[in-house]
Amino acid sequence: MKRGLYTTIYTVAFLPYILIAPPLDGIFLAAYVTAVVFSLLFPLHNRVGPLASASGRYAGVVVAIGAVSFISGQMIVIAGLFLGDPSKYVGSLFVFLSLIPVVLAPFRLSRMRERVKTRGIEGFAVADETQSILDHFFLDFSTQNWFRHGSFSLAFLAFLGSYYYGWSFLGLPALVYSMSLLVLTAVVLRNLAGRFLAPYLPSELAEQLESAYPTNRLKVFRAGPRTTLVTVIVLSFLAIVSLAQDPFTGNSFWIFLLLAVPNAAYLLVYLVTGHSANKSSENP
Amino acid sequence: MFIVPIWNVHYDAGLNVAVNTAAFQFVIDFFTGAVIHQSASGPFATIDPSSLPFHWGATVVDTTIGIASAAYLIALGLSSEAGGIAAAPAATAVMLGAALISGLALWIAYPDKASKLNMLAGMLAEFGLGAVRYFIRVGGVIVPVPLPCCSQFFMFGVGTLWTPFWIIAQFATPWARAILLTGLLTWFMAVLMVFLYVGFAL
Repeated sequence: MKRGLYTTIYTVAFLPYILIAPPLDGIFLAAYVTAVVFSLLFPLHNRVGPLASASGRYAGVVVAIGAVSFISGQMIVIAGLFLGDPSKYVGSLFVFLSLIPVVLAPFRLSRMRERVKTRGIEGFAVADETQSILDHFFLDFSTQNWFRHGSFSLAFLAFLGSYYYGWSFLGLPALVYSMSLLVLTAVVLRNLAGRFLAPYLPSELAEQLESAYPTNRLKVFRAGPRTTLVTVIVLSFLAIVSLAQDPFTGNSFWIFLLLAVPNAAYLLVYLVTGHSANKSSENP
Repeated sequence: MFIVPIWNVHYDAGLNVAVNTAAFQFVIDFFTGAVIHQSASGPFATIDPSSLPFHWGATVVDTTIGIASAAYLIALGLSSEAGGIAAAPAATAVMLGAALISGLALWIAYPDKASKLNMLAGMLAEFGLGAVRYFIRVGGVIVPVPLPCCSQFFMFGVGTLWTPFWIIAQFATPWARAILLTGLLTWFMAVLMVFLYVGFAL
C-alpha cells in the first residue's frame, strides 16, 4: 500500500516534463531529480518511528524510477514519430538509468540496518553470495568507494557515463548543474549510510562483507572516497569546460558562474562534513 | 554546442550475404563503428536503411533493451535472500511488453507496406548488428579540443543501450542468462515472423 502510494506520487510528479518545452524542461528535470535525492532523507525525520518502515518507502521510489524510465523510453518513440525531436526523452532515460543505483542504495542500506540490529556485525553477511555482493556494491556506492574494488569499477564508470551522457542532452546549464547534483547525492548517501548503519562504520561492515565471498576477485585501489569524488568532479568540470563552446563569453559566462559557485560550495561541504564516517575506509 | 571530433581512420569491415535472390550488405568503419554502407534487397521489396522507418525500428529495439536492463537492475536490487531473484523474468517480461507497445505504435504510425517493412528491417538490423557496432565503437577516442572543422558530438547513438544488457548477460547466473536470451530470441523470432508476413503476404 505504502509502496504503491509512493510509486504513484513520484511517477505523477515526473509527468509535467512531457508538457514542458525546452529549455525549461532541463530545469524541471534538474528540480525533479534534486527533489528525489533530497526526499531520500525524509524517513530519517519520521517522528513516529525514526527509520521505521523506510524499506517500503524506498521500494516505492525505486519502482517509480523504473516507471519513469519506461515512460521516457516509450516517449522516445512517440516524440520521434509525432513531435519531431525525442532528444529530451533520450536525456531523461539515461538520467533515470543512472538514478537506479542512487535510489536502490538507501533501500539496501535500510535492509542492512535491520540485519545489523537483529544479528549484529558478526552475522551481518548473508549466506547468499549474490546478496552479499549487492550489499557490498551499494555500501561502496553510498560511501564513494567507487574504485576501491576492480570488480565494481566498471559499474561505477557506467553509472557516471550514463549520468553525464543523459544530462548532456539537456544543455550546458543542466550538465554543469549535474556535477553539483552528484556531490549532493554523495552527501545524502553518505549521510544515510552513516545513520542507518550506526553504531558501526560503513567501512567496518564493508570489511565484514568482503569476508563473505572470495576476496581474490577484488583489487584494492588506494584512493579514498573523498579523493575519488573530488577527482571525478574536478575532471568532469574540466572536461565540460573544454568541450563547451565559449563558456566564458556573454550570457554563458553568467550561467556558468551561477552554476560553478554552488558546485564549489557543495564540494566544500562534502570535504568538511562526514570525515569520521569514512575514516577507516580511506586507509584500506 | 559540443565540439568533439572522433578519430576517423577507416578500416572497412564488410559483410556480404547473398542467398538466392535475397542480398544483404553491411560495411562499417572499423574504428568508429559508423555505418559506411548498408543495403538489403529481396524478391519482395527493397529495404532502405537511410529511411526514417528503418531508423525508428532500430531505435525501438535499442530503447527496449535499455528499459529491460533497468527492470533487471531494479528487480535484482529489490530482491532479498528469502525472496529469491526474479530479475531475469521481470526484465524479459518488460522487454516483451515494451517491444509490443512500441512495435504496435510503429505499425499504426506507418500505414504503407514499404514503411512497415523498413521499420521491421530496422528492428532486425539493430538486434544483431547494433550490438556489433557497439563493440567496435568502444574503440573511438574522445579528443577534448574544440576544432572548427567538425561539430560532431561524440555520439554513441543507436547501440548504446546494449551496454548494460551485455554487462548483465556477462555477470548474470546461468539461469538468469538463459531466461534473458530466451526472451531476446522470442522477440527476435516474433519480429522476423512479422517481417516475413509483411514481405510476402500483406
